Amino acid sequence: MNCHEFLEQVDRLLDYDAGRGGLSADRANALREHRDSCSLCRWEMRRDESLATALRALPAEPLPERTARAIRDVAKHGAKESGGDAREHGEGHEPVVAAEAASSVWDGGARVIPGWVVWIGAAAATILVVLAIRGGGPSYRGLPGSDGIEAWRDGAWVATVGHPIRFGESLRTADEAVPMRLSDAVTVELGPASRFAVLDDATLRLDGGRVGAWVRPGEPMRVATGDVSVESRGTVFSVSSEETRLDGEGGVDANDSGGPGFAEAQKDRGMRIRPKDAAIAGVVTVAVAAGTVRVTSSYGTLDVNENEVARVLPGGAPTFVDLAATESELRDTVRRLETEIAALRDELATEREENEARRASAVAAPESASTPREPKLTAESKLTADELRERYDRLIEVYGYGSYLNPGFSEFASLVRAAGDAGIGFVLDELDGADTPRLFSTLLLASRIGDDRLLDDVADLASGHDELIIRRAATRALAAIEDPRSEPALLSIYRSGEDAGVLLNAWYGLARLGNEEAFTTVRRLLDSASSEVTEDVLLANVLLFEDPRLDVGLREAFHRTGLSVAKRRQILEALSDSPDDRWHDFFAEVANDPFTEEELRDVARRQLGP
Amino acid sequence: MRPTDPGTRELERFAEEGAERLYALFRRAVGDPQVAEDLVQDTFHDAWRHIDRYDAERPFRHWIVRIGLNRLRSHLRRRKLERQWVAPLAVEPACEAKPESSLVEEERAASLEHAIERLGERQRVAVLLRYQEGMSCTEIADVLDSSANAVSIHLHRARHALRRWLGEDFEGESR
Repeated sequence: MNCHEFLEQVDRLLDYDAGRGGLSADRANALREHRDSCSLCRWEMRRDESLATALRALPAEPLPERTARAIRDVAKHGAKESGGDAREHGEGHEPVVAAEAASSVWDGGARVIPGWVVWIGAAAATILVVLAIRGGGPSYRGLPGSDGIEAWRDGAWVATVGHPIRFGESLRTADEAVPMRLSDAVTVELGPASRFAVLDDATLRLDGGRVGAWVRPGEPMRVATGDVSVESRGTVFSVSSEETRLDGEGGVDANDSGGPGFAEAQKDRGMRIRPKDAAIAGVVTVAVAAGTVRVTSSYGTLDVNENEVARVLPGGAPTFVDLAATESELRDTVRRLETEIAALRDELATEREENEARRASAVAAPESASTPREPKLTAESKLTADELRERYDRLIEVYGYGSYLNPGFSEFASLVRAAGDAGIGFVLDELDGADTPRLFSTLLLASRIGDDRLLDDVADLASGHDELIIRRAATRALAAIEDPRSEPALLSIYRSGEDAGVLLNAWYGLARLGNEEAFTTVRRLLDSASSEVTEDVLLANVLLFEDPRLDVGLREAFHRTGLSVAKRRQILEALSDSPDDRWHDFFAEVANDPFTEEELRDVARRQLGP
Repeated sequence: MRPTDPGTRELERFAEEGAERLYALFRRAVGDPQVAEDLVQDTFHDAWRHIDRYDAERPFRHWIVRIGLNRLRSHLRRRKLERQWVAPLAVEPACEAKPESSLVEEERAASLEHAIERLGERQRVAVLLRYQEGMSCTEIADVLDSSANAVSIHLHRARHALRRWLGEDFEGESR
């Protein structure tokens, strides 16, 4: 067992020693043996423990009492907030028409939806479809809180009548609240028989801003002026279609002394709340279980009916997701969008293929009828320096810096190697050039060839070129040449405190020359590198050197925070090339890790086989 | 309501005894106390709605923490979406000014909090469950639907990153 393996398992050993299982006795003994024999690991453990102590001692901020109270309510009654669930807290009050209406299915009657609403709705739907296709993350099937994700996974549209969807998030049921964020001179008008529930902290300005009300979930809403006072023990109001007074779900005392009311409540208009300017602050949750809520902003008017979601974002256009359409209509929309996306994908795939074909023809021998067919070359073919240059021109022209990633580059390296002195002469000429992309590629070519005749020129570039990317590539080539004569140059670069990428290459070079200290340094760097060394440098190095001892480094790089999916995929594929089955457990971990992107999990699953 | 339901009883007990810790977990995972409160409430609400799915053979805490992590994940995904597709919704919570008399320990704790926020999601959650919730690797693996081995690796990497970011502050005792 090496130190790295031990440190990765140390938490499991600590659990085992604390009687919390998780390891076999043999494994625990092996870990203990390593711990007892390795002072470095014991030192690491002490440092870990120091950090762990600090982590355990972090002060916990107390849960605010109002939330604790709300949670206790939920645990006992299932009400999300006090007064939030009208059916459970409506004792002693008249039944709310809205609650009864909540289960009704919208009949899809005619109504006019502004064009921008349709557009935004379509955009939101597109986003959701794209999210569904991309598979925004793993699902925990069967677990609450993941219903929406689960439905997306199945390819089904989750927004059905009576089931509003929260933008970008999850499925909620009709009798629950939908989020609504108000600002920007928004007017909220409740239609007859509507319910308006303020479920989050909010400040409302009523009656043109003359009356303010601060509302907190689970607490009574109090509004008071010289003329009017209203107090509700809950925060849900209903506006009866028959009367012109307000009924609070949790009880309302309204003393209307005849002065100007802060809210209108009329048989045909319902209650009107008119804030002044951007006077509604915070997140207001509006339950549209029945009736209509009309939202007016500088962008126009939104009619929000039951089972619909509307969000008006600060300083932005309202986002409207129309959920009142029938399920089949939504499915049609989704299908149409999916078809469009599929068509776009096909187009992209075709384009990609065409590009690939163009590139291939640029590098390989042209095969069209109009041009004479170039004989296929093998590694044994000996080309002159000029012929090599001609081919190289084509390669660089098409791929630039990325030449070395193309399969044609390997073939070209073989041709250079096979060309013998002419090939070396060609590379030396190229190393004398000034064009950075070309020089960069030539240095990587030198890395592939690894001929000691290139050493002096490469060493000069490694230590003296103006461009960092060239110094990095030259140091890499120097390391790849693996000639003891390069050691002074590598040590000099190593001591110069250069850029991390250059340093890493120098360490690699020294490690390849048998310097154990350098090898340990490289391993440690792979363990810890993230911000100091770019993933590109790390990965390119590890891949290019193909040192089996550095597979561990690849595995480490895979877990690095911030590493792109493409890079991580590359790592998985690189590990899959390992001759034995030693990465089986690692692939299994990746395949089963719910936090890993689905695309990567698929790659890992493929490695595991059926 | 299901007053005699064992799940409901566990939920009520957890509301009394575990809500604070769940809040602390969310508080550190998302940074914003308001959002953390919402997540706690949402978690309890989800748990209540689906209490019949609770398997009494398994630890209740694991079950509800998993629900909470689903919520957290949804929140993080939504936040990412909102940042990507719409204007920022909220101003970052302002830091309260520290009094002059702030102790070194407070500063250390603050820098540790900050460092935890920098960790990737997997590592951050693993660290919080390990050191704040006191869970074993196996228990964390159960919650995260992962393997104990993977958890152990996440923890190792997270500590490594934290130590590197925090520098000497957290190494004094060991040297």
